[in-house]
Amino acid sequence: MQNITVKWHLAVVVLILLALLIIMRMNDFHHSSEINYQKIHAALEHEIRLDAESELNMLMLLNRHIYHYDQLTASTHRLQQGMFKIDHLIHNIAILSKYFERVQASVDIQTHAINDFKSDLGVLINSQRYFATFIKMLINQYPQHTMALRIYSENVYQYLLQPDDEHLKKVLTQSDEKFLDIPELTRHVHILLTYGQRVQGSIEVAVNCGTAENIQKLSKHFDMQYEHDLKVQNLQKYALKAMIILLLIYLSFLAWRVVSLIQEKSKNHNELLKVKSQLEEKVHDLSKLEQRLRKLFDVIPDAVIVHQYGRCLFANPAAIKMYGHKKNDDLVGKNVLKYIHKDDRSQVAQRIRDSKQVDRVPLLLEKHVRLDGSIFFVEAQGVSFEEDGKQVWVVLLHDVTQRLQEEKESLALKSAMEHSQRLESLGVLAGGIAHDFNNLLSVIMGNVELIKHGVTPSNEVKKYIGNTLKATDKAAGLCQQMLAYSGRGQFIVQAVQLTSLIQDTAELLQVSMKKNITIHYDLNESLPRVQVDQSQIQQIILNLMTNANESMESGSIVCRTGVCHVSHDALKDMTYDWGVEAGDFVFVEVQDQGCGMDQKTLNKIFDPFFTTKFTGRGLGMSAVLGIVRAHHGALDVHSEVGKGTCFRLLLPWDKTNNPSENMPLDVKTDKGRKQGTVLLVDDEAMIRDVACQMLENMGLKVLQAEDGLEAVEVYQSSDVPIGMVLLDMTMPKMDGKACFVALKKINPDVRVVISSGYHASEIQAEFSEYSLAAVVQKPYKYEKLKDIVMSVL
Amino acid sequence: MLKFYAKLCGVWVGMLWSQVAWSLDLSIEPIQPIQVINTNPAKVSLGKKLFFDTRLSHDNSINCAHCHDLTHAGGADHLKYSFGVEGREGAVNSPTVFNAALNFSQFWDGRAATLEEQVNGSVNNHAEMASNWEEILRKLQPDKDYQKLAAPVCKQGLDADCIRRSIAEYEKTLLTLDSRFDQYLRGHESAITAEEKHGYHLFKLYGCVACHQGRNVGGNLYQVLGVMANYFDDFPSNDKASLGRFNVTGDEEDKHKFKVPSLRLVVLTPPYFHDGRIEKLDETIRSMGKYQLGRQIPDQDIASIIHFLYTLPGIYQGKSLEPVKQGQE
Repeated sequence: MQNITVKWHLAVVVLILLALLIIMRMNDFHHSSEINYQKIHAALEHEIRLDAESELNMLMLLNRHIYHYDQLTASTHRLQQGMFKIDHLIHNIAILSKYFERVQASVDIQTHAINDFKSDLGVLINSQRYFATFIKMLINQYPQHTMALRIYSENVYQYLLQPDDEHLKKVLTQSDEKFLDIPELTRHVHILLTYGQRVQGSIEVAVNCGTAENIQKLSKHFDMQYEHDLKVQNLQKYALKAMIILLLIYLSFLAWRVVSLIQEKSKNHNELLKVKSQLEEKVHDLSKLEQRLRKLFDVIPDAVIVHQYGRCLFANPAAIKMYGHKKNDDLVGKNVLKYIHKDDRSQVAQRIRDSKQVDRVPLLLEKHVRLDGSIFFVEAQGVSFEEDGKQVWVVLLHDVTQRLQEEKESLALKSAMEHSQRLESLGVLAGGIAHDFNNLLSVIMGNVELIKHGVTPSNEVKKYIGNTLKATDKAAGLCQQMLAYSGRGQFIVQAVQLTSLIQDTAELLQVSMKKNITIHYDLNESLPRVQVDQSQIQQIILNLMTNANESMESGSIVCRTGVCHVSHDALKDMTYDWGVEAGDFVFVEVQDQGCGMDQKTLNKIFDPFFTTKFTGRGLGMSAVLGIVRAHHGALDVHSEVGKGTCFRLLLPWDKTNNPSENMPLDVKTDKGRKQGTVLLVDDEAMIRDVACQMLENMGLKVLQAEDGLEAVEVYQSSDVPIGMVLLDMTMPKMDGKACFVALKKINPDVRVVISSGYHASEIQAEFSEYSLAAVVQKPYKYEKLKDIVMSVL
Repeated sequence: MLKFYAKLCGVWVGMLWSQVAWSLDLSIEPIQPIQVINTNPAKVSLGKKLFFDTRLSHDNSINCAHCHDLTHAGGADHLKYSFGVEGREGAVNSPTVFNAALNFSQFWDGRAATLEEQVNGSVNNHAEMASNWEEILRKLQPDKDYQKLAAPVCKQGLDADCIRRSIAEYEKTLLTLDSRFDQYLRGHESAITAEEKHGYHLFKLYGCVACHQGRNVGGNLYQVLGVMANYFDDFPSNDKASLGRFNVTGDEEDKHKFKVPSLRLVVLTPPYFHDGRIEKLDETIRSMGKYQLGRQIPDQDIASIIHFLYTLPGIYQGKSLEPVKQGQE
């Protein structure tokens, strides 16, 4: 209550002070306009004085009372400066502008006339002073014209004394005296006859240009205007005073009214206080609610944006962070389309345009852009609501970039796994077929060999037998490729320097190339040795080179060797998960400029029986993959359609460089005929028959068993010492390994030769705890079997 | 005792008489001595810094002193035409900036009524500084030195008007005071030699003073180049600049009319005329005799006049600008 009263009192005091200030300002204004009035009059009077001074200076110069133009120039300059000053003083009095312009025009005319006066006066005086000397000079030069020149000069002087004598001027200008052809004389006479009038004219212009008169007119109109302004000001002053009185009366009334109102309202004060406290409580509750809601928005991990036709009205901290902003103000007010990737922008813009017709937008996947330009994916869902009579949208944005990435990776992994499993199962299938087929070939080959031994050399049948043997050889080769693919081919591991291997093969490679194709070698001479099967690696190189050759009509193939380091991630892409560890590798690279392959073809090149060639069997690259896998190596392929393909074979660099033992195990080279008993164990009757025949042909006694169990029985029950056991690996009841173990128990020195289609390293691994006499690879030929048997016995 | 006083009085009267006898009546002399112009020291300091600041030009390469060398070329540059930014060539010979404040207008055609207007002209001229005030203020306003210098001088801070006024103020201090001839005018009879006095006599006799008079020995009127013989018939020129004052007023009478240059530093500022056509002073006087006076001035008289002209340069910053030996200017 007291506060309100004080405020009112203060307001009244301020208003009274204001009124006093206005009155004082009015006095000031009057005072300043009076000062201005004096200044303007002083300037105008000064200008009149300067006008007169410049005219006086001109006359003094003409009459040779002064001999330089500084004074005249100074007065002219001050005249012009005075005009600037007057302009500055009266520029806001519009009515005087036309009078001022008249003064300015007359001052300009005067200045111009003064400038002309200065130019002409000097020239005239010079000619006047020089003329007598010049005439004398001419008389000396032209004595024949002495009289004429004297008369002429007298006339000139006469004219100078009486410049109004037009007749004399005519006589002088129209004279036909010959000496008048002298240009200098003509020019001087012209100056003497005309410049006097010009100088006089300039003075008249300066005097009569009306500067003083125009200044007086300006002064008069200024006085009139000033008087008029004074009257107006007085009237305004009275009006203001009246207004102030009215204002004061009104203020008094207001003060009385306020006092009565205060008294009246004090009655309701307590009620008001109650209402106020209730309101404060409600405000407090609302504030808490608002805080809670705000906190809710702040902690929501997903972005929430409220927009109206694309213009952002609100954004929670998650949204600000999501788009890379630092504070709320940076996002609010912006157009949300700015944050939508251009691929989706038109769709979102369309949705914003259509938003009047719908109140909900289904969950959509959108591509958004951060402030730094990085892209991310969100699932966006929008709902509209009404705020202040306008439709606004709240949009919930959930960043799904990581989830999408994980899904994508999982899909790729699954696909790779499936491919790997497919290859694995194909490998098992190929291995199984090759194994059985090998057994059949052993039988065929053995029988044909036996036939061959029983036929006389001259017999024509021998030729057919030879053909049959060639065919079985090829079939055996095919079998080896299938086994190689399954990773179970014949395998002779030794330390090999791949550069030397390629150099040794170079000639053979060049012969097998087309004529227009050249091979460039980029070989590392100091390449470390690797533990590999030389013939199998040769087969890989030959396969790769042959494929390169067939992929192009002309050009060059580059063959490189070297050492490189390959990371775990890189290896993942190069192998089908057969578990190769990251590290240093020796590589052989074959790069061609051929037709290249698309991704679809690339995905299939290692599939058995997949071929792009008309004549191919589709086992070459499968075998390559099998060999690489068996060597625990990797194969990296890069291909681009139309540009070429690059295969890089990576073989682990065995830094310990332990020379491995060659397989088959060291055998004695005694190939002489030996005697003894051999126990032949094989579940295939046909193989047993053939092998039995072969061994008997070697002069050996043969005991047979069709599985492991029977072999153990035969071995135990044999009356004669068994010098060697030729043991098959895969058999029913008891397989080769179990049989071998059983035999070892009976006789630790038993000599066992394993007969198998699988490669030696696998057999060696199987029997790593025991000592094997030898391994013979199926299908075997008579001579080969003989060599091994003889060396073991 | 009386004799002593009589003698003393005689000496005093003699001394007084000798003073009276040597002093000249300035009112009848066409040439007047130069007097100091009152200036505001703060404004002069600011103007001096601006005069030597290359940032007034568009590419920050040239300042006022580029064409008005105060140290070596008598306030001009000894070139026929000066060079502006990017090697652009001007159309007329640069006059000296010394005593420019005494000229009644600036430039050969008098298109600038004041020194301030002259600053405006040079700054904006494409062949000179090729800049503009917006660009200059952008460069100079952040400079703390200028902020400090401008504070007591310009109420609004450093603006275009302040720059113009300050440079003009500095130029008002570029006066060559107390020349030997001014000393002579003030009554020091021995300040100039008899030969030089003779030269002055001839200077008046031939009527050179009809134009070259006043404090600045010129610079206070316009005059046609070729009063007595047509200069432009002998040296035709299509250059617009050769039309002189006509370019400002458009008045036919003002064709080939130029501001009469000051001769105060004439011995220091070759080449001569608006077109910088003549390198030598004697040839210049000979040409003036022909085209302006309609007279042939003998070589001996020309030499005497040159002797007189050597008495005109004064002292700037305590150092005489007059060449030690004639011909070594």
